[in-house]
Amino acid sequence: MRTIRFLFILVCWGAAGLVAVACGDDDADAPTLVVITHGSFDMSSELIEQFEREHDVSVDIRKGGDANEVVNRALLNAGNPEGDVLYGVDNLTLARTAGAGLFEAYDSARRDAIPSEIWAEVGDSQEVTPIDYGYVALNFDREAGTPPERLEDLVTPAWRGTLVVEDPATSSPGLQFLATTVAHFGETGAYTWRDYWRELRANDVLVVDGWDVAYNTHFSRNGGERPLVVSYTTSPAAEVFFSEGELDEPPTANVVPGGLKLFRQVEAAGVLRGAREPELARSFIDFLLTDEVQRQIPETMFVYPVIPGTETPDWWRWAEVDVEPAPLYVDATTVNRWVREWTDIMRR
Amino acid sequence: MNRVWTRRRTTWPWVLPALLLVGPFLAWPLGAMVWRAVTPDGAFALQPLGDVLGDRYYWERLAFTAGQAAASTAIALAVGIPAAYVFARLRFPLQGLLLALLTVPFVLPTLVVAIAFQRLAGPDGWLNELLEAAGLEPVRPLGTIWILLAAHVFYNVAVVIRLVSVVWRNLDPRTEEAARLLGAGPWSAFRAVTLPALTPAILSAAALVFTFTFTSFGVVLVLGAGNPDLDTLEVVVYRLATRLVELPAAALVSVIQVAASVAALTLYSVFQRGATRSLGLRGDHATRLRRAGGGQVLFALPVLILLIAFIVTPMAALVHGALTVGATDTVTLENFTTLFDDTGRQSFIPPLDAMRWSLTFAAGSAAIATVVGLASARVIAYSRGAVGAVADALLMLPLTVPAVVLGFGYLVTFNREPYDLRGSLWLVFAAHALVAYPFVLRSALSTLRALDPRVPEAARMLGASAWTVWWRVEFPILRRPLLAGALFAFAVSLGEFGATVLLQRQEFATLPIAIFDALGRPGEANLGHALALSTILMAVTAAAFLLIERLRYRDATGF
Repeated sequence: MRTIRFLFILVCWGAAGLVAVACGDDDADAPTLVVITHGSFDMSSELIEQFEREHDVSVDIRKGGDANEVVNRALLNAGNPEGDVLYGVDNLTLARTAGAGLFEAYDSARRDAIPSEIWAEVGDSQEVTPIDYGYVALNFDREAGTPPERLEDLVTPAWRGTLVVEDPATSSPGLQFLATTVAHFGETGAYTWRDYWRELRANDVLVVDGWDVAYNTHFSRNGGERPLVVSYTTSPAAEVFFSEGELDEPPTANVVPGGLKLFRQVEAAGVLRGAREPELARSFIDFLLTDEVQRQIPETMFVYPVIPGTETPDWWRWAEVDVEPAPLYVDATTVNRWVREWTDIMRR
Repeated sequence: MNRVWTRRRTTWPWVLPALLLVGPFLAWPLGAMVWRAVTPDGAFALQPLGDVLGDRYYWERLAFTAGQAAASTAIALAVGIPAAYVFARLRFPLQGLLLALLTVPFVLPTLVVAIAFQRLAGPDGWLNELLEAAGLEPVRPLGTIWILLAAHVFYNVAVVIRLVSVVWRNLDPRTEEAARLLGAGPWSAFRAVTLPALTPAILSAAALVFTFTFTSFGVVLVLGAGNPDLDTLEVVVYRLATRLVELPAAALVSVIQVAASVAALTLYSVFQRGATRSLGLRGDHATRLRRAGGGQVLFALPVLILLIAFIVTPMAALVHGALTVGATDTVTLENFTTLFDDTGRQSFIPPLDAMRWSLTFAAGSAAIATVVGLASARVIAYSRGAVGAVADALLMLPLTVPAVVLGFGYLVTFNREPYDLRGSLWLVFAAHALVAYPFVLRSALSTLRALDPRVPEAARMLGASAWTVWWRVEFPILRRPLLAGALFAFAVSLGEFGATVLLQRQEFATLPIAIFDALGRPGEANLGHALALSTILMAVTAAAFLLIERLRYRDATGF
C-alpha cells in the first residue's frame, strides 16, 4: 500500500503543478519584456537596469545558440513567439524570414540616423532595424608562425588540420564565411566554391555548431589545437581588451588577403509578431539605438555601432581594417541552396 | 461462440484511450507532414519521394544505422547471455540489488549517458589515465564507432539479462540434468536442450535492443563528435528538420526509419509471444535457485566483476566530474552550490524550477501513459490472431518514431487558430505520454498473457459483470506491473529530450533542457553545472527505478 500512496503523491504533485500553472502569473505587477537573442549577445547590467527603470519593466534576456539556430527556432514559433524582441538576425538570415510573418513592421524614430548603405543591406526592411555590423574574417594565432597568404593555401598539406569553421546552417559567421568563399571562387567554372570546400574537408577542416565553441574551445589561442578560426575582424582587438593591459598589441591577426571580398554582416532587431509587449518591444529597439548602448557595443559585442560618429574606445584602433565591403543581399532561395549544397559536401 | 461475443463487447471501449492519444498527437501530425511532403504544390506528386529514395546517401545512412544496431545487439547478447545465466541459475548475496543496478543505465537519459562516456573516454578521462599508468598510448575513442558501441551496450545489456534470465530461471533444470546423465557434455547439453528453449527470449531481446539502438539519437549527437560517418537516420532527420528546415525530406526519411523499426518490433512482438508461452513449462520445485558450486563461482565471479565495472565506471566518472572543479581531484560541492546562483547569468534556468517541471511532466505523463498503456494491453491480449499482432505492432509505433520528428510535427501542425498549441504545456505532456505508454503496455501485457483466461471466465460464469471481473480479478493481479510500468513511464519522461527541446519554453524548461543549455556554454563553470545537474537527474531516475524493482512480479517477462 505504501507504493499506492507513493503514486498518489506523485499524481497530486502533477496536479498541483498544473493548478499552479493555470493560476500562475501572480507576480504580474511589473510586465516582463523577453528578448530572444544569440549566445554572443552582451550588455552591461547597468544599461539593462536603466531601461527597466525608465519603462517600469523587467527585462529577460534569453540566449539560444548561434544566430541561425535562434532564427530557425523563431520561424517555427512565428505568430506565437517565445519572446517580444528578436535581436541578432543578420542580412543573410533575414532573407530566410521573408514572407514567414516573423516580425511586425516597425519604423524607429532613429531610422534616419542609420546610413542608407546599411539599410540597403537589409533590403530596406520595414520590419527589422539594423543595430550593429561587423566583418567575418579568418583569425590567425600569431604564435603559430606566419599566417597564410591566400584562401587557396588552406587546402595545401602545410595547412592540414589547422582550421576550425562554424556550420552555416546554425551559425551566422559560418554562413558569412561560406558567402565569402562563394564570392571568391565563384559558382561556375572549372574550380568552384564546392571544389574548395571538398578540398578543405579532405584537408581535415573542423566544423562546429557555433562561434562560441569554435573560438573559445578549438582556437589555439584559447587552449584548442587549431591556429585558424572563422571569427571577426574585430576579434584581435578584443583580445587586447580582454588581456586587461597585459598585451599592447593583438596576439592574433586577421587574414585578409588582397582581392578577398569581405561582406558586411549587419545585425538587426525586430518586434516579433504576436509579442505580449509590443509597445515595450518597440521602445527596446529605440533603446538599442541610443548613444549609451551604441557606445557600449564595441566593448561587449566587439562589432561596430551602426550609427556613424559613435565614440569608440582607444583599443578599438586595433579593429580598424582596410576593407572595402562588398554589398551582400541575397534572396532566400540562394542562401538555402548554398547551405544545402554545403551540407551535402561537408556533412555526408 | 458466447465467449467471443462477450470479449468483443467488452474490448472495444478499451481502444478509446489509445485512439485519443495516438490519433491527434501521433497520426495527425505525422500524417500531415508526410502528406505535405508528397503534395509539394497542392497536388500529389511522387517526385519528392523519388528524390529521397533515389538519393544514395539516405540508403548509406540506413545501412550504417542498421549495421551499428546489429553490432550493438550482437555485443549486448554476447555480454548479456552469460550474465543471464548467472542471474538465473545461481544464488548469491545482494542478487536483486545487483540486477537493479545493472538495469539503471537503461532508464538513464541519453544525454546523461553521453556526458558520462565523454568524461570517461575524453582526452583527460579515466580511460586514458589508466592507459598512461600502464605505459600504453592514449586513445581517442570520441567520434569513432567504438564509443557508440560501448554506450549502446552499456544501455542495453540489462534488456538481454532481464528477458533471458527470466525464462532461463523458469526452465526445468532437470531436462538439462537428464541430458547430462545420458552422457552429454555441459556445452552440448546447453546447446541441445537449454538453448532451443531460450531462443524465443534471446531473439525477443535482440529485436528490442536492435530497435533501441536503431533509433539512437542523443548518444550519437554527443559522442559522435560531429563525425558525419557516424550519423544515424535519426540524426539525419534532426539535421534536415532543425538546421536545413527541409521538412518534406525530414518527414520522408522518418517514414523510412519508422518502417524499418516496425519490422524489428513486429519480430519482437512475435518472439515475445513465444517467450511468454514457455513460462508454462515451469514448476515451482524447479524455479528454486541454487547456491553456487565451485565451478560456477569460477565462471560467475569474473562475469559479474567485469559487468559491474563496465556499468559503474561511466556513472562514477560522471559523479566524479560533478564533485570536482577543473582538472583537480579535490572533492567539492561547488558545482552544486553555485547552481542556484544566478548573478550575472543571463537566460538562467533555475535548477529548482527545472526539477519541479521535470517532476510535473513526469507525473502527469506517467498518469496518462498508465491509462493508455493498460487499455491498449487489454486490447492486444484479448484480440486473437492477426488482429492482436497488428494492434501490438501499431500500438508500439511511438517507440519507433523519432522524438525530434514528433516535436517538429507538433510545431508545424498545431500552429494555427483555433489549435495554436505552440508554447503550451499540453504538447509536452502529450509527447511524453506517447513515448512512455509503450513501456506500461509491455509491462501489463506480459502479466495479462500469463493470466489463466479461465479465471475471469469462471467469474463471468458465476454471474459477475464485466466491470466486476475487471475490478475483482484482473486489477489486483495487474496492480504491481502497472505501478512498475508507471514508474518506467515516469523515468522515460524525466529523461525525454528530443521532443522537449523543440516544444519547451524557458518558463517550463526541464532538467535535460537545463543540462543541454549548460553544456552548450563555454567554460569550466558551465560544464560543472551540466555535470551536477546530470548527477541529480541520474539520482532521481535511479531512485524511481529502484522502486520499480520492488514492484515487479518476479515471473513476468517484459522489460
